[in-house]
Amino acid sequence: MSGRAMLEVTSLAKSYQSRNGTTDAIADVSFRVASGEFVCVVGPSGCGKTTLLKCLAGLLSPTAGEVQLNGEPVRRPPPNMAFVFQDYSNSMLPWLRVENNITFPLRHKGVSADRRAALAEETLRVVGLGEFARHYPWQLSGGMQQRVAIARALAYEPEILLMDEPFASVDAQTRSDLEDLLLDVWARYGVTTVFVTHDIDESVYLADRVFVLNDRPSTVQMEVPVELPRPRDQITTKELTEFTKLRTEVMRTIKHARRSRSDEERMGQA
Amino acid sequence: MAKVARDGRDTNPWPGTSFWVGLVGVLLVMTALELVARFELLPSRWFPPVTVVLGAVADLLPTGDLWSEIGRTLWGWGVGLAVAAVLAIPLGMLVGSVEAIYRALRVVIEFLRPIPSVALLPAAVLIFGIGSSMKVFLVAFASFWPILFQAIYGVQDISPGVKETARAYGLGPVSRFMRVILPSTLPYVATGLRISSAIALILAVTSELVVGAPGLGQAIAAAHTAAQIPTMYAFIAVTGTLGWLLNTAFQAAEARALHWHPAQREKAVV
Ligand SMILES: Nc1ncnc2c1ncn2[C@@H]1O[C@H](COP(=O)(O)OP(=O)(O)O)[C@@H](O)[C@H]1O
Ligand SMILES: [Mg+2]
Repeated sequence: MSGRAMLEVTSLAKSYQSRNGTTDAIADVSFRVASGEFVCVVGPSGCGKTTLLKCLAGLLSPTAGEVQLNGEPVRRPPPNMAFVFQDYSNSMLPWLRVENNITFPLRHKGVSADRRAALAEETLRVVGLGEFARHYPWQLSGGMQQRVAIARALAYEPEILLMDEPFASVDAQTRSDLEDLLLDVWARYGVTTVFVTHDIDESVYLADRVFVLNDRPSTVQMEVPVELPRPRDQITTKELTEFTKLRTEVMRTIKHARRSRSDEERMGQA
Repeated sequence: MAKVARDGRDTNPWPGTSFWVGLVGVLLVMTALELVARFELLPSRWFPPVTVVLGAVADLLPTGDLWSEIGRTLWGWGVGLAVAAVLAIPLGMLVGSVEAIYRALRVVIEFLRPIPSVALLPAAVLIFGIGSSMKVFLVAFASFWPILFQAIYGVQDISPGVKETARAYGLGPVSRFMRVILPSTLPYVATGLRISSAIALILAVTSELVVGAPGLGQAIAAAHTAAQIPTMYAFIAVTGTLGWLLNTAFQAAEARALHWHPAQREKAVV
């Protein structure tokens, strides 16, 4: 890991209390993310990825452990952190035009009107939606709405960007376009990124490092450094033997974790 | 790419025809009523021909009487509706957002709501006398419920994704209320206002007709007592027209302010 640790997660645990009892979502997760790094967290559905990200964002308070951003404990959403949700249509304010969806978080941050307009224009251009500023989000396709969500995150000028399976509900072609767009934007703005996904290929394609989570309650099963050259390309990068090796390694880890977990359960029942 | 039509309502395949078709329908019914009276299918003494009623309306128009009666009815309607809105919107939003208050008040609300407002008429007369306060009370009581229920429902129906987005971008409770909760609840409240506006007119006219508070209802009763049958029908026609105009105005305002809401969107997007 190069550079100083910007985000530091120490022995994080999270359980949900509900009427039907306690759900242990995260057992014990620790990792560090350096400034400017692109980190992916990959794990099977329901393993606690969203829970983890919400704890990092200060939207949920952990049951145990701590999250520190630039050495400060995170207790509420920090002003230098932006979030892109999985459910793009639900994260848009349908009564606001695209440009205002991008600028609404900026006003209370004290950004001047001129600067807000400039940021909206610039970030929309960067995500290729320059002409759609005056549209309403519901007039755009899913992939376009997710690009608006990315533009909103960038306009917030964050030091760190958290993304929760942002491309999980768009079609395959749009998805690879969005992955490349994201890598461009990341290289351009140098923003530290934590990207959550259940897609192993996606995690290896995007990341500097991949954290593999196992089933709920999750721990970090493995950390995989990805030293594929940048800029990456959907065809040539994915042709590299190194890429195939890495994705196989991640896949094997997840499969192995599942098998040993179910063995344990079987023995527990016996 | 969906485009917003300039005139949202013209989604029928023959744009511009709906007005003329409607006009033809009105003329047909009026002709039928005219014939019913002319041929004495109903005694024309008690059911005068449409042309005679229209003549009576024409006689009323230049006199100040008609306009002051309309003014009195509208005053009771407007003040009652405003009182209901001022009480029901904040209360509904509070009840809808705090689970404990919702539980505590549900029984009370379920008990009060089914009381037909007209059943309160004798009590209202005893408390407020035969005047406009009595009218305002009845109108406000009846108008209160649809607005209250729409406000409760609206607050409870806010997309959790939108709320979470606002929180993730650091909006505090006040900003979240102003920028997310209020705009999302508004469509429901607008529907409640439109429904209540119709109910308010009914209650205003009923209290005038039954108790004799000044207004269109009393004018109808007075013309009846004086056996000025065409004048009676003229006042009825004016009351009907007033109701229609109010409803049209509320619908237009609703569609204009809330064009982004799914219920209005289908009309606005081609
Ligand atoms: N608010 C909640 N209350 C109770 N259980 C929850 C809540 N949110 C998530 N869970 C449970 O926690 C586990 C992890 O959920 P989540 O973090 O959404 O997983 P992922 O994002 O990896 O699919 C799941 O078993 C889920 O059912
Ligand atoms: Mg998730």
